[in-house]
Amino acid sequence: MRTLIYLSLIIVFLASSCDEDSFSQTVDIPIPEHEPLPALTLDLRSGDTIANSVLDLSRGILEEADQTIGNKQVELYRDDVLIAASDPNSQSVRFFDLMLAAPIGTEEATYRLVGKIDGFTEVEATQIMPVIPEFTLISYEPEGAIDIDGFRTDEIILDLEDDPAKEDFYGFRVTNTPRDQISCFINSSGDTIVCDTFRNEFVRDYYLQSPDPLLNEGTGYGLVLSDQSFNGNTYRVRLQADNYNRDSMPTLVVYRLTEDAYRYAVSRNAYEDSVGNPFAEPVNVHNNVAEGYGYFVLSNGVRVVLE
Amino acid sequence: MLLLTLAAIPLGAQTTISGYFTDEASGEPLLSANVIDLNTGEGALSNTYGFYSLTLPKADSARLRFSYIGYQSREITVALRGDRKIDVQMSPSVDLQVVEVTSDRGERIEQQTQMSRTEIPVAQIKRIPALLGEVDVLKTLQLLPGVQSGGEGTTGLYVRGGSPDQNLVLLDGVPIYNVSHLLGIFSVFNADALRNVTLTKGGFPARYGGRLSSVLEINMKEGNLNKWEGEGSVGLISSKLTVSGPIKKGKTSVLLSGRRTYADFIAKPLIKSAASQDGSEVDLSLYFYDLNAKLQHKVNDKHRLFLSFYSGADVFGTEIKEDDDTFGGGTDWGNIITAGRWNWEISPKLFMNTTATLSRYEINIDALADDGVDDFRARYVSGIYDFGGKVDLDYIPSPDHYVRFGGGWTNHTYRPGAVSLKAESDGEVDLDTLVGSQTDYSNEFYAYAEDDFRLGALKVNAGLHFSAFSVNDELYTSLQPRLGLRYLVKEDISFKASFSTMQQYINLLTSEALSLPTDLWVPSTNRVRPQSSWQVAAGAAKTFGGDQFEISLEAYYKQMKNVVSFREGASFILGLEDAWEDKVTQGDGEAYGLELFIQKKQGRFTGWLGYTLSWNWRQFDEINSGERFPFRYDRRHDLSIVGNYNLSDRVWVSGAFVYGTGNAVSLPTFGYQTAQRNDGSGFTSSFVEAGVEKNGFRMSNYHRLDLSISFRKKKRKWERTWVIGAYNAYWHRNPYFLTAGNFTTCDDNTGQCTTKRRVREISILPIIPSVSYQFKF
Repeated sequence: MRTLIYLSLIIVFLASSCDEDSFSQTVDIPIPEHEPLPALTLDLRSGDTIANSVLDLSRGILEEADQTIGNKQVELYRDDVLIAASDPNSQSVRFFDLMLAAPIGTEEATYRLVGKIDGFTEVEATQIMPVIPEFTLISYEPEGAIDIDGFRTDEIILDLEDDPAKEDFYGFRVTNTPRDQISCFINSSGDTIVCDTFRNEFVRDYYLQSPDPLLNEGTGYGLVLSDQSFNGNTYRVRLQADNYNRDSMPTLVVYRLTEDAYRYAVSRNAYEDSVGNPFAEPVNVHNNVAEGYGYFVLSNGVRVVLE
Repeated sequence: MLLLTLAAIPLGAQTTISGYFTDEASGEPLLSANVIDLNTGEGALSNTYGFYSLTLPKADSARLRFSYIGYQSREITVALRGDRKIDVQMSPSVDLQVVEVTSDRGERIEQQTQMSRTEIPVAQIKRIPALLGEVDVLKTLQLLPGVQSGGEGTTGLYVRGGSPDQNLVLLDGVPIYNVSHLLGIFSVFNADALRNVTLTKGGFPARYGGRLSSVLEINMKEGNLNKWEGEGSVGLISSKLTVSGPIKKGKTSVLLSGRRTYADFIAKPLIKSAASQDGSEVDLSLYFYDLNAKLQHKVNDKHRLFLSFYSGADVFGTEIKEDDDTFGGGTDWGNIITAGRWNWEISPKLFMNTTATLSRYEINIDALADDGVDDFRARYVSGIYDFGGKVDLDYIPSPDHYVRFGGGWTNHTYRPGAVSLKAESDGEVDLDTLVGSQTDYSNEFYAYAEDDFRLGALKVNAGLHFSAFSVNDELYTSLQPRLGLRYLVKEDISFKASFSTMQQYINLLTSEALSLPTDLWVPSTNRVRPQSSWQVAAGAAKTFGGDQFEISLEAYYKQMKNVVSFREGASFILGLEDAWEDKVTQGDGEAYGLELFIQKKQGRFTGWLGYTLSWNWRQFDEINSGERFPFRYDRRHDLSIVGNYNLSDRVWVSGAFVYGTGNAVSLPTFGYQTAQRNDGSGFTSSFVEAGVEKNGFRMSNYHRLDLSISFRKKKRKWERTWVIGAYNAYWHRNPYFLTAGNFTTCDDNTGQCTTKRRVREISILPIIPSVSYQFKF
């Protein structure tokens, strides 16, 4: 009998604990109120004819987006000469396609990006165009390597000639090569086949890996590398590219990055990896905008068609 | 120093009485049993192997009292004509309900020089309510002051601001690298096979080394030399059985113990049935197991040999067959350890223990795809493999000195990860290769000497620990002074202080949040420097209430150098093997706090209260912009109350309540819109969260009550016990992780609902009832 009493007490105690949502609760963690500042971003590369920039106000993590931001303007200077500017009266626009009169050059120059929002301090970031990376393509062998998952990949080997005078950062991408394609169709009267040649400019990155642990994934730049461990020497880089489209010739793009671009690429990649993973530590994306938030990063790239 | 110590020891006409303390029924040695000469008041304690040595001034006779808590004391008078050997077999006292949790069973807490050390009797561990009824040594240790748990329901031990890799866990003297099953939910230690569990979290005597934060010594039972006996249980997720008995009575014994889960036995038929409807076959593996074995042989009065073996593993995997296709994968990970031990009583005053050890931790991940034509198989292997030996000597020249010295050596082989790939097509081998097969080797050596000596009311434990570590072309050495002081203010109260430095040469790369089998043990290298620490502690200890209660209060301060952490954003799941040095960074740690421990050792109600007030910081140049931040498991307040009440000799109830400040978490505080250049062409605009303050926020406070009730019934030749329990009995939603998003809340009165961005805490363990059936014969 006593046993039954004990058991009954336990059951009553346990049953009284039941609730609707047993696995989660919504709490208010006191997050400090955020003071908004202009946030300006631009990833600019040699050869660009348009600079895609965003200028917005930062907002607290629990706040909704504020649609009523005052006048905004983005300006891009090269060696203190204005080379592109947005419409000063674009109140509702956050995204700016700054049209450039000429493609961004590969020569050394100082670029300055300025963001202005009414009622806020002007923000800016400066980058110096790095010199063109020097490298020698040693070999390209389709399906010449095996990746960690056991799949055949294209192997690309190149030797980087690193500048001993300064700290350098590199990026490597492999894309498909834009090429001319012939497209045919029946004309409107239905009696003639018309063929025309057009250039397929669609660029798609190949998934890139490397057996070299010094190379890290970097958002926007495929794999990135710092010269910390080989400064001033020739360094052999081994890349493995997943080429799913044998009809397309791959193009290797080698960048020399500014330090900010390198830090942005690595931190952005880590940030993307951490999103949605409750066990990952949140990551701050690299920030180099004075008086505000965001990034302005610059790189100088060279393309080589792999044949 | 040892020579100086030995020179200072007075020699004169003396008689030494030595021998072993054992349990009369099982022949198991008794640790810290007490012998005292009632004529002179001089006494001695038994060591881990039950050996004691008491040297007395020359006299006609001595009146000796042998005692051990929970056992009947014995008194004998012996004539002192030359050295005497007296082996003592102790019988349990009538009141078997007396269980205690104390620093040492034979010496009152205020008498000991050693501080920051706790021994928990296995009998006590078995009575504490457990998740799913699985008695767990490590989770019991989490209830002690200065020891904190990690994630909800997991076995990680965070001792005085340290991390789990800073705990040296020794099973029969052999380091064990992976101490958990099921991602850290259960420990690998089967309580039925254990003899004693001792945790040292500070004031380390010189004999300990190799880790910064704690030494956890777990000894398996030696085996019953006198008769066959057994015990076991059947629970919700596992069953276990332990048998032990003499191969040759009084001379040789054997112990065998096994535990296995059976989720796969339940799931297999269900999954097979579901799969057969699709015309496929599924083979499922989903279990963990532990096997313990021990062989004991008494060669003669002076020599004893022991052979210990442990093997345990987690196995998860599936293999699916559909027509000609076979595909699947799985993972298994586990430890194998072996120890050969030789006890030699060289003289009545000198005892030697020699141990040869093997330890292996390995994880394998397999993948298989076979369509009848093409066959691809991949296997990832990672692990750490040790072998070594050590010699420990106890020299007890007089009741005023207890000298220990010895040394050891371990060879570590690290295999951070290798992938073997094999592909065949129509029987032709397309691929057969090994990727990332780098193996590192290191050698670790140590030597120590310490003396525990008495100077009136002052007792001192002074020692030196020397260690050396060679890896590749690098050699690290370290000389670590140790000091422990105890001053007896009154008969029942003492003040204590200690100072110790420690050095650690191997590191665990882990996520902090989860104990994953892919966590990597890696050596210090020329780029990753050894971790080191120093710690001071001071406190007071007192026994009161007619020896029923003990109280201790300790304050500590610890500094750690070169602690290892992942760089910001580095992934912790696979992919580390070749590049781990690039993905970790080193920094400093600082921990300080106050610990209160009150325990009731005797009577119908036994239990303890442990409270810790602590601060725990980390600083890395490359994390959090170089700013100091709270460690993830920085817990300002940590309270544990454990109780066991005997309603009768057949029924008892047990409970454990824990309360702790919420875990520190990192949260972004703001965000902004960005222009993100795609890997291909074009760009997209996306919102990024920023302003992450490392561990700058707190989850809700943690609290939980576990309860159990046990019903024991003695039969003629055996006894059985039903244990009914509940983990998290009042179903508190303790947070495990956070997620931010738009959540709708409605006002119960007005019915109005509002949606706003908030943070939601997700818990994973609700109330979990359990029942288990235990038996003993």
